[in-house]
Amino acid sequence: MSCEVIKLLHCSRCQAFQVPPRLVCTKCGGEELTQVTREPSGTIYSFTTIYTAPARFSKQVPYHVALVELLGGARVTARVERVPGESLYIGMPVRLSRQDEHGLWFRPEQYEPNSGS
Amino acid sequence: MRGVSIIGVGTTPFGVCEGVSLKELACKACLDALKDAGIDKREIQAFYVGNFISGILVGQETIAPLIANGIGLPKDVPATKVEGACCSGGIALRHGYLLVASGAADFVLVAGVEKMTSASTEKNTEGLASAFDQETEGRTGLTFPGFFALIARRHMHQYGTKPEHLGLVSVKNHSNGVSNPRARFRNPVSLDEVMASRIIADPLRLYDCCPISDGAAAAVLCPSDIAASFHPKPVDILSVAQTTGYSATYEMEDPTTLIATVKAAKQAYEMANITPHDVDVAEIHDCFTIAEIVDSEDLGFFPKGRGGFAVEEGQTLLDGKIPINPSGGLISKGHPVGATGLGQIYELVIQLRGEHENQVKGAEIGLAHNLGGTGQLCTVTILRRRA
Repeated sequence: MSCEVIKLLHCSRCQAFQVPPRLVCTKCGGEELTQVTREPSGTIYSFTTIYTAPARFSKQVPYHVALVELLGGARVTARVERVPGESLYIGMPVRLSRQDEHGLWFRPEQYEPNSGS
Repeated sequence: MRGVSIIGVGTTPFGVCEGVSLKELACKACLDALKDAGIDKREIQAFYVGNFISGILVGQETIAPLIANGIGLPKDVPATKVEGACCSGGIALRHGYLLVASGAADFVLVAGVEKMTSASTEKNTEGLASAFDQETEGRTGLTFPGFFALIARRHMHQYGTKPEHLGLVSVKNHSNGVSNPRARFRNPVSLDEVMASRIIADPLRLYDCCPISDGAAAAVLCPSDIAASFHPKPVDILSVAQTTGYSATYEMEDPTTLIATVKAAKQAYEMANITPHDVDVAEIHDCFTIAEIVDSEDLGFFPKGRGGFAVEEGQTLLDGKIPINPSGGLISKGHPVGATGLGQIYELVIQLRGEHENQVKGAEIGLAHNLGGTGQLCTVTILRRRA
């Protein structure tokens, strides 16, 4: 299952991107935020694998959380799917795979089914 | 604004205080501070207490009047809790400072307290993670070790910082904790032990993380011009700055710098009219080893990216260029989150009185750096002993 786009907010004053819901830009205080969409692809900016988690996440350990730099500029904090044999690195291309109560999930690009479409 | 001084400090040991409640911890530290100041509690005109997650961990809220009553403060004294995650103690100090500096009060008691070890690790991790924005980053399952792991990975990528640099912070702070009777961990650890400890949030290992702890610390503040009549060695507060940083990691242009620290340090140095090079001893927020490295750069002790190398060169040791965390820091002394900011003040006051177990020789100016959440809040406090 692949997601088409990622919805963000863009500040017309300082050009920063915001993850909704937001009424005001956290960078400059600007109040003109317009919805923009981003391609569901990016690269890993930083990442960690979490082994000790709060109770509501403890059945999921170990799990990856990453900062993903989206194509076109904007960063999000997201989950990265665990793929056997995969090893994350900074700059690794990833693609959005799903969205759920944990937010966005990405998958290493080379493992994405139908990634050439 | 008039000068403000610290005339008394009190603390409990930091660690596992089994069978001792949050209320008892706080009351003990407050009574110690009042006794140290040689002041009657009926003289106190305001009380602030810093606390982060007592509601989640021990089901106790409204703790300010609870503690005020517990130590017998008069009923006309306002008792207020302040919360700013792990920065709560520093914020309590700043509120007391402002009240005395403005002339609104002459004698103010400030405290910080947290009771953590009676709750499970999962419950603590959950409580601490409540400082994330739950609508965005919190729901991903990011933890605080995870947040600092994201920073560590970038720091390594951008500046060549090595896992061993992080490990050496832990080795140094554990070594300092050995002689501090208030520290939770009093055993030295080797770099090999640090590097072999289990992974908590890759690349951070167990010994890269501070331990959850119980504890409380307190201080009594008064105008500088009358401080010497209470304590023979009053410590002057040159500045206390508090700032706000970003509430989520993805919003930080460069997560290897915490803007709240940079801005608080700038304000505090300017107000105290000193530079980072004038600081003789620093207690800084090493909730994780990488945090001490990042903080030491953001506070201006080292250029950005050089903090890890400075540790390797011994510059942060007791006899180094800038001794950092002679108390053992959060890593070894422990991190009862709401108490930590005032625990740092306790350690520095003892240093500036020349009475610390790990005394920095001739220390005149001390700096405390207290950080909350994802660098969302920061206080930097600069203290000076009298000549």
